[in-house]
Amino acid sequence: MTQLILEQALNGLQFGLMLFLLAAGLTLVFGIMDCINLAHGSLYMVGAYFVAAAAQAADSFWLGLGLGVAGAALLGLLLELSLFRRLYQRDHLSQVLATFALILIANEAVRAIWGPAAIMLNPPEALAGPVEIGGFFYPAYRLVIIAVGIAVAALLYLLVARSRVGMWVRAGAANREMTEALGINVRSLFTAVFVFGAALCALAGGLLGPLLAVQVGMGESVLILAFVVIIIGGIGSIRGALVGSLIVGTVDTLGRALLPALLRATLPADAAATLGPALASILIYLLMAAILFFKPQGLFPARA
Amino acid sequence: MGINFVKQFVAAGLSRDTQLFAPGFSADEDVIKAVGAPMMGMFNSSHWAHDMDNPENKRFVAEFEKEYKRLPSLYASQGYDAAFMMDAAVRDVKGKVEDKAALQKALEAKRFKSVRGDFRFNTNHYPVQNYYQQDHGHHLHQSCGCLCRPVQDEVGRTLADTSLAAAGVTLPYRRTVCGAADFAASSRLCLETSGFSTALHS
Repeated sequence: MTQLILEQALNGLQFGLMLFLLAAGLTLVFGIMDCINLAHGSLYMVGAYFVAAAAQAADSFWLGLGLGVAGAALLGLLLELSLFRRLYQRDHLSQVLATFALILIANEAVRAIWGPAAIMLNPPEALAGPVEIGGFFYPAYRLVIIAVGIAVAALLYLLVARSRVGMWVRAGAANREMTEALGINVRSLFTAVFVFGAALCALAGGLLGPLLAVQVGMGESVLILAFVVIIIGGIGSIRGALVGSLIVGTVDTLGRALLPALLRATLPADAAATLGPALASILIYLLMAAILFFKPQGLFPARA
Repeated sequence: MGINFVKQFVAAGLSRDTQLFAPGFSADEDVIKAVGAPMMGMFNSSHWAHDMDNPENKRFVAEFEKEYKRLPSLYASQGYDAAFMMDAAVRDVKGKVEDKAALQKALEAKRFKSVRGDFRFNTNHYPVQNYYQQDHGHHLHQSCGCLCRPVQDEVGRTLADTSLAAAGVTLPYRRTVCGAADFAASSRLCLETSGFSTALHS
């Protein structure tokens, strides 16, 4: 039982860190530019396809990851210059409509280029198997994901909390007009943040690709979770995104792994069998509702 | 689902001491192409595979590849069969599809050549046919860059009879059947195939 909990806690940590990569970009775009980007999940999907295609062409996972992330950043730049720049001034409904259209366009474009079936993306050979830690076997590749996730989270923290650019970003999230009035070029700051968010999306897609299926529609399920994370954490806050990601990642993973067993121990078998999976899959939404009840602005509101 | 499952099963090291058996669709041509190397060493059972040796199948696979530039999966084979089956039945009733009883009879008669080889319908309309064990990956298929499945041993038949003993089913057939006591006792993990479980539980 301890082994199961430990293993699932590691899985939860890994999942949470990947959610953070997605939520970090989303919360900044939403927080600073007040722009709802539903196509954030599509950048994750397209990023994973870029990484998979580049990894196959270069015959190296790490090279493919680098190229794929760079490609997604470039795509993010094009999108920001051509479309998003025009959306910032508009209301949320127009943003939702335009970015929802982007989801459909991205899915169909990927289907047209790579076909409807999932494509191959495997971890580097050396990391394909398990390693023994503390008496049980755990996939080596998942440990690498955890390490990369922690490194990126630390880097982001330093960037946002300690650098000058980070200060502008935080100022932009807290009060955009005042930041502009102080002479910061918010327009190019927006572009930089958007491109950075796209790169983080592709990094998450590329890293998760070897665990999941790289296929059309993979972005939509993760998009909902990313929105839950930024709402729990507080829109516009990187710290909130990190805490929210880790909470959602661990609660979702541990809930699915342990809740059915817990219910079986306390409830009649048939009630537990129907309630367990249902409750496990809505657990994070219950959590979100509870947090919003006590803290309507999320855990770490950017506009305090 | 098959893709994530096989990838994570192998990455966690479970394939070292557990033989993975899967139903047909968890190791079909699309899954093989998406998973690649981790497929090595697993088995699945299916009513059809792209390299089955009969003229209908050869024509189907060649034309499918020409049209879609990839190997067909078992779903495609079923769709292809279904279209031919309807075509044969509608021909049989000379287009009078309003006569439902006659149409049903014509469908049951199965006057078409299936890509899965010969089969007939049971009284419950489940096909009585051969099943094949597929042994995954001992070499890479160069032309499509995916793993190929050269080995196909016939492992069983779905049965019209209700009792296994009466049908004289021999033991090799049970090798890929899940849920038997000896499998449950060991830590082996296997996935049921709908074809086999139907044969066993009916």
